[in-house]
Amino acid sequence: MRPDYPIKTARLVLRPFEMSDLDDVFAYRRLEEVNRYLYSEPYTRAEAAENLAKWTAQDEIIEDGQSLALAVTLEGQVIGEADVKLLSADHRQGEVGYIFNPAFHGQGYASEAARTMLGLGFEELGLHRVQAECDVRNEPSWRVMERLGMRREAHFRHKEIFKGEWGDSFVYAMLAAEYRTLK
Amino acid sequence: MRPDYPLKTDRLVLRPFEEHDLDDLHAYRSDPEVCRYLYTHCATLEDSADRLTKTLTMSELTEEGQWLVLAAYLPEAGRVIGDVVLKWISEKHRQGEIGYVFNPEFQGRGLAREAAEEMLRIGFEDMKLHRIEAQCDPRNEPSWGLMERLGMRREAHFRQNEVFKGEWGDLYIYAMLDEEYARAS
Repeated sequence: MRPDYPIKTARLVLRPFEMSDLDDVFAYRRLEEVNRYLYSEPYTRAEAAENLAKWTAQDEIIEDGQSLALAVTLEGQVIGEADVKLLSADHRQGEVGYIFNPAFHGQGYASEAARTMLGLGFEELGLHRVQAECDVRNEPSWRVMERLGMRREAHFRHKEIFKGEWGDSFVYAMLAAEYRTLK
Repeated sequence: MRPDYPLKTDRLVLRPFEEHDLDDLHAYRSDPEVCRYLYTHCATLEDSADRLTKTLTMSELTEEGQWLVLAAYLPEAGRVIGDVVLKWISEKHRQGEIGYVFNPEFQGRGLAREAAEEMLRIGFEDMKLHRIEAQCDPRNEPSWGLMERLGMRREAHFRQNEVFKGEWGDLYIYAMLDEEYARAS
């Protein structure tokens, strides 16, 4: 599955990453607050470049386990990233995620971008169910999931050690039938 | 970790499977009622023999990813009436999973509970696990009823997260933490 780029929403443009996005990406990936509830740690500039190179090389999904990470741009500036992952073609399962520059929080951009990723999952990948996970303390993240109409399916307690302490996580999900009703 | 066999509960003896358990194992593994909500289809005698061969060596846990599979032997009946498992999911995160499959002929007497409690004990006390989970199909009420009696909490209800035997299947995941186990026992 390779979407028709660029993907335009009401206010945003989503497209594959380019190496010229390095400054914009490093601007938020270097921040402690952005990484607080992610498995990653703040990037050095070299790490940002290294990851950017990986993302630019992945602009389509062919098999299980692959994800498509797109640059979310506002007036030409990358303000965050949104991704969709194919978990299982057999079971038509996928996952979405999003990371945004805190300077652009609170304006519904993450919801707008994540809704686009749900659309890619259900319409382009033909998924039956799309899930999203986050740390339970990351309320802005699961609020986005709820705004999108996803349902909380799991609250895992202490399923893993996250950054040195026992972590809890939420799993939200939406089915294709629910997506069609909400659309 | 290798338990000190045979493990005894009030009414059961838990021990590794032995070659001569084939008939007892096959009696319930071939039962349509038993395999309705298992990932496996109803076992042929050959399937049961293969399963038995694999489980003969699953008597200890030495690295994550391994399963401990024990036969639940009921002395009063002179038969193996089910199997219980403990999977070591993660060493770093101290996670495990239990499971149980019993012969319906012996259901309703709390025998599965006795065996499952022993697996929780091995997991929390011998393996020092921090969290043990158990999964089942939501339609398998006897199975999750037991998880609740064991004091496990329902942490997840995944809706249609997989195609199960030709139709969309749901999944319950129950779990218990070591501190909950310590309080309950």
